[in-house]
Amino acid sequence: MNNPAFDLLMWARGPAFDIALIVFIGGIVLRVVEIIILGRKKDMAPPKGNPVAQGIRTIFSRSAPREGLVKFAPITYVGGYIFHLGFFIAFFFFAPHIALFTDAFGVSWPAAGRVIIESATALAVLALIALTYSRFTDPVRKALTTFDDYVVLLLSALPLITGYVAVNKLFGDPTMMMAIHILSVNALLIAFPFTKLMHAVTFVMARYYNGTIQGRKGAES
Amino acid sequence: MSATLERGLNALREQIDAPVASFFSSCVSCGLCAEACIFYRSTEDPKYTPIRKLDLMRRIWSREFTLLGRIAGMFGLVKPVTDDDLKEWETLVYDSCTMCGRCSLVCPVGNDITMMIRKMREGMSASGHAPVELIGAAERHTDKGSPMGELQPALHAQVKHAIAETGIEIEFDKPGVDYMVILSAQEIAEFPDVLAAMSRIFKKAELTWTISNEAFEATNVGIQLGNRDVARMLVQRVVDAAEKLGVKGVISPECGHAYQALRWEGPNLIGRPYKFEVIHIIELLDKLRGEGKLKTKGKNSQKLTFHDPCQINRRGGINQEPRRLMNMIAENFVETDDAGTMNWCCGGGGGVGANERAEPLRHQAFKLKKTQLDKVEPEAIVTMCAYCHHTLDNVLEEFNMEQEVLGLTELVAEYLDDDLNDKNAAGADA
Repeated sequence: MNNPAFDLLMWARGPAFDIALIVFIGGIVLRVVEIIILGRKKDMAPPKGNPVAQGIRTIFSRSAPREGLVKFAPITYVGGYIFHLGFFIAFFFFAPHIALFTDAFGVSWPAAGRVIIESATALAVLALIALTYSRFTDPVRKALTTFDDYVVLLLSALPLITGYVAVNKLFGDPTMMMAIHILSVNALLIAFPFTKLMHAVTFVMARYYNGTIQGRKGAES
Repeated sequence: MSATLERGLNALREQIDAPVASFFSSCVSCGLCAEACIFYRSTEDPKYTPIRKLDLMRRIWSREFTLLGRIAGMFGLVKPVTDDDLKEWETLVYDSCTMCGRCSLVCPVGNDITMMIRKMREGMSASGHAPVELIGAAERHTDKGSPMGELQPALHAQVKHAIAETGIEIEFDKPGVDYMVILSAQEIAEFPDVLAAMSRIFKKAELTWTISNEAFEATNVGIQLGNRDVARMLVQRVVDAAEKLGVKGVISPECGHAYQALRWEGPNLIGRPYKFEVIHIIELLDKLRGEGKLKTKGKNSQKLTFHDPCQINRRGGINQEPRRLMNMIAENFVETDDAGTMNWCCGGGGGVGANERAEPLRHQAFKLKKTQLDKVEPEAIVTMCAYCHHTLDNVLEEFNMEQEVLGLTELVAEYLDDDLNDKNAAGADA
């Protein structure tokens, strides 16, 4: 029983994953509390619209682009949609992933077929490559990009790539590849609260606030 | 660290609240705000990317309001904001942003970037890095009653003129009337016809109104400069006068930031709701139209288009009201691309129009609006903000464009179904 790959896999999905999950959840709570404790003054202007309703609506409606803007930043828009959708499908609809949720919470939902999962994964990776490319070449993106952005791109790509390699046994020892896949997920979880990955949580607050500010005025958001 | 720098940084710290922290936490530097920005789109210079204009505020938030940022700050990984930084950012925050609000509507994570620019200007002005024109206007406004200096004699002359033209009395400081009318300095100085227009419309609608000698100026340079104390004082003047007269409401005139200042920021600046309502003149006209108290006769046959003032539509929520009025009096009303909520700014808002060094950039920015106007080829452009009116007049001349700019209130009054119009019509026939 001397299999380092197996030991690594057990460690990655055992204690390492637990630690990553604690950092992930604890970090998110810390970051959200850091935001909420700053508070917000009560707005005393009599509302014209319904701020709360529009705030909630904006959380969803802002997922669609403003008309006519896609053509000005096609890589960012199209790449952004493909990556987010692809990542979401690969993460939530791959049967072994659903099994993890079933083990942990007793819930389950229908899995997507292999073709869908693999296409989603491949497209998400391609989208990340395109988004990275635009950060190198597009003047606006280039001027805004910081080290954090590249870390986030890399951390988002690794679970997709390693997962694809491990499942399809493309190269290397499958056990080792699975261990690496889970380690990459752990890295993503640990980095999440402390990098721009955090937007995946705080966007709900930002969109809500934007919607309430505009909604109070009866203006669009 | 100098005292002014410390004061500026403190002012910035005070502005950081939960929405600001959620916005900075959510930004993924996608750069889509640039595509919405009039200054980026007209120059394609990435330094005009809206979120980048907030970088100093973001740094303060990161260094002082996040645990990780504080640790990073200790290791020198996040640089403190210096006086040189603020100096460099002055033109970005004041010259290349009209606070038009387009970026806030396209940001995929929902950041209200415009609101943060408004906040950032508080720190800029407190640290002594604001355009001299805005500082001068604020001084004139607080000391002499208007950003253009002493305007009371001009106002009295214009009121006299309006009375002579319409035969309708306008009384100053009359308590207990329905509305107190306030005007933008631009209207008093450049577009005084609005007085006669309102006078006739209100007479026909049987509304009573007055003008206060103590507070007739609607503009609020404190909002543009980013100085809450100035902004509060100017709002307080209007509130005191209106509550003293016991009016039902104050009519916010055709002026973008005046509406923003009095209607939306004002109660928060003075720390309480008003004892009267604030209604924008176009909101009121549309309300009167709906109640059947505003009737018009005939229609304008010119090809007309409408320019939406950012602070009244996109940031103010008045979108359909002017369109219903336009349809009532215009035979040939055509909209430009992006009309309504996503309309391009005239380029002069947010204090940019008063800022001399920003003029070349402002003219460059107008090219977006020009392209849209060239496509529609209107004979005249109607708007509901005296400052947009003023800015458009100037840029149209600069670009040798023939169009006339019209104020919506005056235009509506021109077609008002009242005795004066009957007399005019009779006179024309004779």
